[in-house]
Amino acid sequence: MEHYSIHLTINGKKYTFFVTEEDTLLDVIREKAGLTGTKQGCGCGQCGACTVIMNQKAVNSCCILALQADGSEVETIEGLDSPSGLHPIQEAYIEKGAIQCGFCTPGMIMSTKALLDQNPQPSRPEIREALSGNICRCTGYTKIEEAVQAAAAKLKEVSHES
Amino acid sequence: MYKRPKTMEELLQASSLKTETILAGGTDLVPLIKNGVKNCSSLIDITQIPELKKIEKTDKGWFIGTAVTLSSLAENPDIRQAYPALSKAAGKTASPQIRSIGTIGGNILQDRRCMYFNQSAYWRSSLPLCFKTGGSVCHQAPASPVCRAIYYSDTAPALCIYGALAVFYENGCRQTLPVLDFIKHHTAENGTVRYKEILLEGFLLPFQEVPMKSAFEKVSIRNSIDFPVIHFAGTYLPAAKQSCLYAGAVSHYPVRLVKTEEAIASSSFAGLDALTEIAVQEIRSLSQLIKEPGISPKIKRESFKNIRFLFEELFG
Repeated sequence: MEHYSIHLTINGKKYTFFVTEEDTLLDVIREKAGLTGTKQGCGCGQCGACTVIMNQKAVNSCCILALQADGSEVETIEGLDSPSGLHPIQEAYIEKGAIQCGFCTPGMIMSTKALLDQNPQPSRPEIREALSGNICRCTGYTKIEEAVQAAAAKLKEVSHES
Repeated sequence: MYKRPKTMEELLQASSLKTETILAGGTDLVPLIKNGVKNCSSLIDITQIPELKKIEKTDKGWFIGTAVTLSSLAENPDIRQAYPALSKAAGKTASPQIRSIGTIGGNILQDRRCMYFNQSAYWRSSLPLCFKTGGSVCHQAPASPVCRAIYYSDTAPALCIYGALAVFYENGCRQTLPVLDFIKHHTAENGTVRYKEILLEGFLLPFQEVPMKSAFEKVSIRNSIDFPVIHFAGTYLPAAKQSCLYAGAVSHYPVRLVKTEEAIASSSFAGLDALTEIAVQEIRSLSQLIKEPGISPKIKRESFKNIRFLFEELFG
């Protein structure tokens, strides 16, 4: 087993990690960067709990080798927080009751952010499509859809204010 | 060992020893590595090579590089206009997260799947090795002399209906094969696939000299992300009553529905119900169903009739 150095920018901060061929991006985020907000669910790309944004696209970090991600910009759930408080998407999820056990929530929120970054006013089918790779075993999908719509409205408001 | 060549020359040199496994998106390979059915001791990542990431018009047709992601393919306006069934198939594959990184080449070269194979090493340790893991039995059908795992690629039937050619390197020689032949060629022996010997460059889709109708329909248990229960792709040229129809996820390879095409050409059917029945009977005769998670072969056979949705789109 060889070790390689990789460079990642996670939530705007530059990191260098030493990884093996077997380490996944999820391993690096959780175990080496200590950002445990991103969850490991199925481990094979079917549940979306490990969703992060890599180079502006939502991806399953459990199915990407750390070496593949070398040089990438990664955004995790921790990157949404700021000194001024929670991100509007996080606020919307709380206000709409879109969180039950919470395990899927970081992945859901990152898929939501990837969607709203590209499409600030998505329709309901577009929301469903964008979140189709994320499973909520508490089955709170209706509230999650409402939260995404509310987040879109909040972000629109924020962008008008600024 | 992990290599990340930046040019085709570097790639061809790096892959000439045939000891490396080609890695593109990794959405098929990485779970297999985790499950201990593939090793990752020597990987070549091909995603940094510009030639393999391009979609371009050539004098022979549209070329789609093997490392083009499924999301890029689905969103490409030229492909959507010229080959709508392929665009739809790419957009219906897996989830947005997987399409962001999974590639068209990887989708075609994916390993055939089986509920006895796609399991952890610990799970499989309670059973004798099957054909796909180097053993001599198929747990799906112990009397079968061959592996019965199923090929699920959504984009394969869509490429087949357009007469796409796979452009690849083998033993240093650049070659082309029709996609269906290439998929068969990729299978090394009884269920196992050639991970190391074949280097896929991309696909060449011939121009459609006469505009044809084309369509793709997919049926899956979980509508958004699942592997298909079954999928269909077809083209239809009304003036000549000429069609090309494929069904997938029912056998080792996509199956061509020649008898149904003949019935369409000779107009020897009375309405879509009758044509659907002809197609269902043909799929029944060509399919080799196995036990799959979440669906019995009996229920899967019931899904064959969904080919009617394809017909409605082609003939509507």
